[in-house]
Amino acid sequence: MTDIKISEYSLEKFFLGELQEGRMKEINGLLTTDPQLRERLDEIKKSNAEILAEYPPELVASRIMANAAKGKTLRKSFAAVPLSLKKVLLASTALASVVIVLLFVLPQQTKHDGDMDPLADRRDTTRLKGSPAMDPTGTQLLIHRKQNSHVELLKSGMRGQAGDLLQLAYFTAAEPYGAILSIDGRGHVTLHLPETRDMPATLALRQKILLAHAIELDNAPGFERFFFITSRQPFRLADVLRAAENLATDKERARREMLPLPKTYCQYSTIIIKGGK
Amino acid sequence: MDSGIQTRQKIDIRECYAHYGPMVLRRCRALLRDEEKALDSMQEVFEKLLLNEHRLDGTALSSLLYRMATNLCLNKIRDERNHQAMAEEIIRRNLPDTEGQEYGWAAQNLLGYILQGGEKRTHQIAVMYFVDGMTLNEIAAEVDMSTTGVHKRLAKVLRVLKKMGGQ
Repeated sequence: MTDIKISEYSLEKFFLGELQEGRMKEINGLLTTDPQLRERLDEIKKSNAEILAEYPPELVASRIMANAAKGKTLRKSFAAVPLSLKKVLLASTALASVVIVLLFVLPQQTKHDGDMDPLADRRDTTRLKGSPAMDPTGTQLLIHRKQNSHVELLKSGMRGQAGDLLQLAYFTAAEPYGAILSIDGRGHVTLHLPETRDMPATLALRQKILLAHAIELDNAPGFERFFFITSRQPFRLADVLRAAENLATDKERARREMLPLPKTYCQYSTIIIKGGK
Repeated sequence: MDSGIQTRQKIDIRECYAHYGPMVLRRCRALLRDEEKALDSMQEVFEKLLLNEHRLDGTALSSLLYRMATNLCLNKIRDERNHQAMAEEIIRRNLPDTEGQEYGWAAQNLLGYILQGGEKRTHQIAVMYFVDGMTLNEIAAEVDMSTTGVHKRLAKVLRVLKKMGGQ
């Protein structure tokens, strides 16, 4: 045994291979003669394995990313988000009523398989038109449109026009990372989820999640095509945005094709055809 | 031994946590002596890292994360000083393994000293010396000061701790 004291801090750095070269050599030398030091190093190895088993990287990383994203959202000015579509704050009265309906009426109706609430006609509130088509077993991008006092679930290929108020929502059963974006007929790409371009959103599983902002369709001609990109692994959001921008350069391809991404991504799209109804 | 993760590129937080997370959690556990608080603090350290990744300069992360964890935990201990009962509990439970060590008495009074307020960097230096057993050279490198500067600050802390402990 040696009398030279090696602090926990130095031992941690030694284990990580981040001590200066001379110090690394010194501790390496001590390890051959000091069984207590060897024991302390073995304790670090054992502790590492226990911590990573108890708090797995996948789980912890997703929590860290979600919290960091929340922190950024809180600090980021709403006005600073660059958009070709106009995002609308939920605080407005009209949209608040949409959200109330989406949060409370839609889940109820899904549960009761389309049964209408007998009191619905007597309420001064927004009602759903058409049957909700949410499948609780698969990943989906849901686009609701508010028209007068009705909210309808849009299917791909339906028509829309400038000024339509849309509320996006998603449901995913298995993929915890994702992004929602759209490409319009002018070739603009708009990111709807997450709020910032740094990293993908951490998705809530097996719950229908409404995005924090409703959007208003602008007067871009032709179409607005929404993509929901998901993955079981964290991914580089910049790669997805680059793929969308690439596809957006060709309007015809942007109407028909999926984003040029590897098969590790899942993609879902809904296109709204602009002009007339 | 693993090689360090360099920070020239954007951080892969999963990889970063898998590499450094256990060290950060051990650090938080050692200072807070509360698993839930330590876990919260560990996550907070990585959240701060993510939010500030644009400021990283390409150096290995162990020193930075260790320092961030230390500061965060000391802040939490300081923030709780208004809750007298909680503060006393922290003092009672913390640093229990220092008896018989050269500055064991100083370590026992250290949390009381930290709770009194004062300069954060000095707190950090004191914890590194009395709790972590780091050498003056190691501390100087960590806090980017001269060894003499570290020595002066420690001498000042010692004088206060002696008074507190009736030494």
